[in-house]
Amino acid sequence: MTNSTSTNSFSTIIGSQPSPAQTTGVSLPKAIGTSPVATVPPNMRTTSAAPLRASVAHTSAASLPTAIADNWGKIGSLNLDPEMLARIMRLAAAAGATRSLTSRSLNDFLDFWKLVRFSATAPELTVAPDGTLYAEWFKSRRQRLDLRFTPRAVIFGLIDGNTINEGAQPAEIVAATLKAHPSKPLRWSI
Amino acid sequence: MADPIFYLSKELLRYVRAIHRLKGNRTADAAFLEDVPASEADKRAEHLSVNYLALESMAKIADYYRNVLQDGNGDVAVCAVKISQFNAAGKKCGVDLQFDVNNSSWSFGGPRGRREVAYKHRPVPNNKGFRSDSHCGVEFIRVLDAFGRSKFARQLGGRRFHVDRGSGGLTRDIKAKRER
Repeated sequence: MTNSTSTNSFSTIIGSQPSPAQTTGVSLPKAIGTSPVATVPPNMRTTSAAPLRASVAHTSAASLPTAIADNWGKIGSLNLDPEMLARIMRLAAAAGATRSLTSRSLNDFLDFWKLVRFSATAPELTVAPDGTLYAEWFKSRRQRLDLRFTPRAVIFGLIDGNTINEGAQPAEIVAATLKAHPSKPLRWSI
Repeated sequence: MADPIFYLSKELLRYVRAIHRLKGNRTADAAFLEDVPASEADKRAEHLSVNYLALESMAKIADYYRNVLQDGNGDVAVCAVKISQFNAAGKKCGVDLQFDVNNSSWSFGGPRGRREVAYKHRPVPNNKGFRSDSHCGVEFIRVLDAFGRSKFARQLGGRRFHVDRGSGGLTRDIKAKRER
């Protein structure tokens, strides 16, 4: 329910025609993922999240997920893969027992992604019950990498054959270590 | 009902939310993290919710989750993990697990060195009108910090989940209720 509500408010903002697939909550980010600036009306062409949030509040009672609104500028500038953006939208709008994605965690992930995006495939994203973002790269049960973007540090786990590297480090160190890793774990996918 | 014995070879089922289902029917690590406790009292009784497959069938457990968490609709995903695998994951995270022969139960070293039950039968008599006789708790997660919990989840994640498609939309319990 929250998914579709959020998506509808998003479609109001960017002024696109609602399509049947929008009720799934995943089609819209394709439109903004390819060219965010081009699809946003002239009065909203800004990378600041504050005017966007104000407009949303003015436009409808339903609100854009806070995590997305707070990171709007970064999301636009990174030109994220549409599938990844759709997934982030879903996680940000998720409701229920699990908390939805937090702004801080998404911000930390986007900062990390900025550092590694040219040497990485898109990870599979999920959210932990405390609202922190999980990114997983999976090749097999014996070769997988997971990163959890907590407020204090990035908690990482790299399983590569018989070796397991686990720890918590700042995002910059994790990014540099993974980019230099001989197994190229950031490129693992199935 | 007497407390069941948790045999190493028996399996515990963990409900997998839609956002924790990954490509290739893999269970995300995050599926093995418990919800944040609401109060201090909840924190003291914190546990990882699972269902003991020795007490109820997978279909019945899936029906319960479908009714309680999915309004009686849709596929239910559950991940089965052996108790021996839960033990191994706990031990790798530093949990002191022991089998007490006298009580035929698993225990772990809690705060201030007190031994506590590692797996506890926690039947749910009534949740939105549905009951779960097989509901249990993996209790030893209480001694793990955030890093330890991620490590624990990593040991258990990545497994394939089972999908229960139910009986054509509405589940048996809801159908029976509506017919009444």
